[in-house]
Amino acid sequence: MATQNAKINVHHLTRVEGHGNIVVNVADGTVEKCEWQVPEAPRFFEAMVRGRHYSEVARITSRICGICSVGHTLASLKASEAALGIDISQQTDLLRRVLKHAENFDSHILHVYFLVAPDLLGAPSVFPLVPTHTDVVKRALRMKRLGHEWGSCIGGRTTHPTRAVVGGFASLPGGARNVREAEDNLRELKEKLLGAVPDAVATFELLGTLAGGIPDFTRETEYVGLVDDKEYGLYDGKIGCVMPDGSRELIDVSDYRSVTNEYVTDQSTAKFAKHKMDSYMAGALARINLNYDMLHPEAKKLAEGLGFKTLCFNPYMNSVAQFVEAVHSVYMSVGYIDQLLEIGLKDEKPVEPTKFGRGAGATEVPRGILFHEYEYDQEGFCTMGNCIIPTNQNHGNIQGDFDKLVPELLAMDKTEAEMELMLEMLVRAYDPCISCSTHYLDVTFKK
Amino acid sequence: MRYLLGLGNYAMGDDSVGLRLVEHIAEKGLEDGFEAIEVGNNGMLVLTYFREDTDLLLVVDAVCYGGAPGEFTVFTPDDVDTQKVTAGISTHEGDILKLIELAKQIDQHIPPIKILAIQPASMDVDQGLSPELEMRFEEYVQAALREIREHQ
Repeated sequence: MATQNAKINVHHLTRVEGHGNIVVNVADGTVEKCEWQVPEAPRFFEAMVRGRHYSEVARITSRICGICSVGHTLASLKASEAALGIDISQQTDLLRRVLKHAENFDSHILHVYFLVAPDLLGAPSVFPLVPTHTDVVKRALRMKRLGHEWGSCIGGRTTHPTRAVVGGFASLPGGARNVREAEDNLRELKEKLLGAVPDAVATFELLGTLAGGIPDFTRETEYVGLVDDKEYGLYDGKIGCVMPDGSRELIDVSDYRSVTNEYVTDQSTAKFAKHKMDSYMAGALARINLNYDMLHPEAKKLAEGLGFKTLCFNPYMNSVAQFVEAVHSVYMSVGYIDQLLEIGLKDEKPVEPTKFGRGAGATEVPRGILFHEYEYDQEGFCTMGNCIIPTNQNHGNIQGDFDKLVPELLAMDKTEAEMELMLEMLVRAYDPCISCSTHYLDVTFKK
Repeated sequence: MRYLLGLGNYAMGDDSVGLRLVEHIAEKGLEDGFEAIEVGNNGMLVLTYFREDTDLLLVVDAVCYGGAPGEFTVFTPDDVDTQKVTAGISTHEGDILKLIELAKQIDQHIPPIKILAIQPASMDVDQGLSPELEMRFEEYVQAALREIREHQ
């Protein structure tokens, strides 16, 4: 007998980055309402960059997100450089790739260990896990620290990086005073990365034991992400789209609006997006579905060990895909550091503009493909900005998943509590970053 | 090393006061013998500074402690009890006291920590500070510099 009545109202879902609500009403077996709602207010970053000099724009837009600030910086720099006719050096390209991998690693560790693992271990948060899984929590914090040191070495800071500027880098890795010191900093970083491999392997062993807790749900959809001819699409590339039948399309980043097709909906203050189907998914699962063959062999081996196969249509597997990417990022960055050391670092000055016009840039952030676009006047001041974040691109797909999942859960005679958990886990799997979080303390003095 | 850490969200009014203070100190080149770091809403980063070689963490944050809007005070984590009920740690929910609790549970080294607490007037969606905090901003900057310089 299927569940006939259910009322779920999750106001401000926990363990996601921001405010989102889940509302489901079922009466006499009929789904009357089933919505993923985003009730946040607009933040007007596109208006804030207008009138600002190109040297300031990335610094402003990196504040869009405290987790993806590297990605916002890089997408912004790429868009500005496209608008300003700047070709960056090979050294800048390689350093930016290492920086991008650092952010992905850092964010994925946070998401997999602190936001998703409690669901798989049956705990409401990471705190109850400390006595029973002390080593796991310690490992998580070790890996999180590595992500921070990795990003800081290249970008100056992991949050709101200071060294990445239009045309190149403002200073050498590790803030070195000379090239030799910078190369030593890169060698030290490489050793730290290789030192993280045992933790990565241990994490995969843990994921293997928890894989049975990942819900078995599939919905065919379109996947969108970067496809790069140099590596697994992350820092650069064209927009790749893969349909459920495996057919693919590549689109220039300058034509990104033909993919995102943003639209407004009554249930959300955030815009939704769609391409060839009613919705598409961006993020780690989309990237793996598009770039599986370009994964580093060590990451691919671990993915195969978990039975990962593409095309994968289970959105809950996004968290597994994130960890495959985390391992990929470690090995790819080691390779890029080797390349940088082989070529030999130079104390380069950022490249200057050759024109002033309009340009778009894209990079992948942990939650999916991110687009920035700007136009500059002849004095280098911004006259137009447009930023399309991946979480907004995913809202429509989350809703599509809800529409398929809720009737399936009803047919399985799930209780309200079980349905609520499944829907919460689904949203968390997308790792949405809705960015209205506050961080204040609320305290009383002991005496 | 001594660190001045600013926590908060630029888009949420007075919640951003710590970030703006750290940014101001960095822009004015006032980092003499300490580093000013924008943690933003990536609160987990704070744990990275829980190291043996950290002499002081001075955290600047919006704190509801019962003061009048704009008032500020300095305390240590041991001086207070948290009133926040959270489901755990995310950039959405974590705060410095939760992170300290986590670090204690796994026997991580906890360096000396002080919190420069500023009572917010508003934490609604707003790209600026409230007038109550804006008019006292320089006082917060001087208080932060005094605290971190005194801890030599």
